[in-house]
Amino acid sequence: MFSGQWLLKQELPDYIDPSTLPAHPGIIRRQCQRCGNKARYKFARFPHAACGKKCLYCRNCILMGRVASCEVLYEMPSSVQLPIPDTLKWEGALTRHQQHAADEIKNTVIRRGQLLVHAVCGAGKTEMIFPGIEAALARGERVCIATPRADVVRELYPRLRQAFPGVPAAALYGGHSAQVTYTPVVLSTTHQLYRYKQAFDVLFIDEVDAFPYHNDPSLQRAAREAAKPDAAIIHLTATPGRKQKNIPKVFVPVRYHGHPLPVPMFHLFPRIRKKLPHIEAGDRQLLIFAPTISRAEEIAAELCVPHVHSDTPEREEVIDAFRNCKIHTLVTTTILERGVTFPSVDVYVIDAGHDVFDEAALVQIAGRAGRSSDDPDGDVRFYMEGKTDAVIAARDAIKKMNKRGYNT
Amino acid sequence: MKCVYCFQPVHPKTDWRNAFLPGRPSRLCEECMNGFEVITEGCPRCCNPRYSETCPDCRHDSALLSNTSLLFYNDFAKEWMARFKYRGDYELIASMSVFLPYFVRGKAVPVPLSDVRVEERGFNQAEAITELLMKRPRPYLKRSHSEKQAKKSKQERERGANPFLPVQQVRGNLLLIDDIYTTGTTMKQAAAVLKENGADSVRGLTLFHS
Ligand SMILES: [Zn+2]
Ligand SMILES: [Zn+2]
Ligand SMILES: [Zn+2]
Ligand SMILES: [Zn+2]
Repeated sequence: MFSGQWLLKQELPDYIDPSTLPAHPGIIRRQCQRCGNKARYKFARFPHAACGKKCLYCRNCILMGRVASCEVLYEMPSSVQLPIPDTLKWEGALTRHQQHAADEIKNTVIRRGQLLVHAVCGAGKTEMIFPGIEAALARGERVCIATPRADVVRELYPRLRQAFPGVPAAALYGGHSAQVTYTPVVLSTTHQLYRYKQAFDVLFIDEVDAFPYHNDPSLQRAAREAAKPDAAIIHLTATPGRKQKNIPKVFVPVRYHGHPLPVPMFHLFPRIRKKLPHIEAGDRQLLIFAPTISRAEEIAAELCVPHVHSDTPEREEVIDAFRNCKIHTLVTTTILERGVTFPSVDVYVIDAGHDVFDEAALVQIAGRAGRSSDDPDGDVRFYMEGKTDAVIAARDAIKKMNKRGYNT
Repeated sequence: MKCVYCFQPVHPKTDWRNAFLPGRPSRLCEECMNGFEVITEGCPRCCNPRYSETCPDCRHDSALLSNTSLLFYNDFAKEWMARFKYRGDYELIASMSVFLPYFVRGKAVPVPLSDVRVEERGFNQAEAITELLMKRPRPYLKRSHSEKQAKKSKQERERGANPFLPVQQVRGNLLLIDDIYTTGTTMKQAAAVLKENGADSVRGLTLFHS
């Protein structure tokens, strides 16, 4: 029983005879058949010892292993999945707004349509998709939840296992990516979708308006191809862009605990690119965002606290230590801007006027604060030399969402 | 032009690193370039950047006369190496052009891989470096397959049998080329075989020193 992935020869388990599987050329007419890449600058040639030729290979999906023109991708057959009734064992209750969105999601799953769910940070997205997943499983359908960050996959997986204890599920990210056993539920990073072709009946795509999904057509293509042609596709976002015009939408304007989003306070600070304002350790844990890795390192050194960024080898351990309150203050780059949640933190952004902090990123960052119903506030501060369009737009967006939440 | 490593656009400009090296433009963006750290001082024999005088590993005579390593094996370099060597992104070798010396002396002998390893990777990273140096690779050595070097302790490596075999008698001054200098055992074993088979001298060149 296998999983609908297209795999390289070296990814196949030892006990499978490749000659029994359908094979597809790795590259056809300068297009990678795994990731769909067509961009010329993302192809190169290498002297291939196996065939003695200068073979073309795809550099877009190279981190998943090399797809070369002389080699094939093996298609792992998808298996037949039987209906599984009554899978959801989650005992929490949904708020009125959550329930409304959850119903819409479930309807979309049943009629195999599309839906855009706009939920503010901390609205409790995960719980809202549970009834939809249950409905799909009861119909014998395969579900994938794709999210941009490996950290989010790691956080979501145990919650999913708890909510659906009897249902086999796989978590795929980075080094944990070849799926050997078929599972009705797959939780994966968006990049892992490259490996699947027509494998899912229901696809949830988290953070559609965020890096890297929103500006990478090859990822969007990967998502389309991973789903069956008539699949239900549910897009989730906290910061909707302007693209998805023609699909039905549902808006969840209030956090699950009913309190408004913390509105960021602006602190103008000259020479913020070089210097640091006075920062005191308060009662809450503190998450400090820096624009670049090197700045994060400097700030961490100055405050004598740990930092994480995308290259930190022990980032999983550091994030866990922060979540378990073993660390009071943590400096990070934008890798923690979304998905990863900590119950009760203050959030400071150093140099909020920097280009990396666009409106969407700032809304997400502010959304890290006040996640818990015991402590729904949180101090959100943007330190900057002068106000930029992005910081103003982010604050306006948050205020607007709060307003919509309390007028409905 | 796009950065060969991160694909961000690069605006090629002349600076001290490439001003005197016509024909070898950097294909790295500034940020990626800054991720690498050039070794400016180290053990005079092996370039070990943790020493400024002859390091303990180099106090004994060996067939390897000296070794030059260009860059620190920092976290950035490790990530680069993972993509180049283990994922097989051959094109990345182009990002090393700015760090390589323009002229090097000696006949280039890339440290060979075992057949099993070549099959696994599709190419030999040492040959890629040789090609970038615009040198003719001399196939003077063969390598038998053994367990991965990295999995062994230093002692085990030193005790282990020499995996290199001569292919022919050689002559002249040779330059052994590899991607990384760790304890030097690999380079010294290869050098010993070359010396036994007629080499006048053997020096080494590696991209990284761990
Ligand atoms: Zn590809
Ligand atoms: Zn080939
Ligand atoms: Zn770059
Ligand atoms: Zn030395």
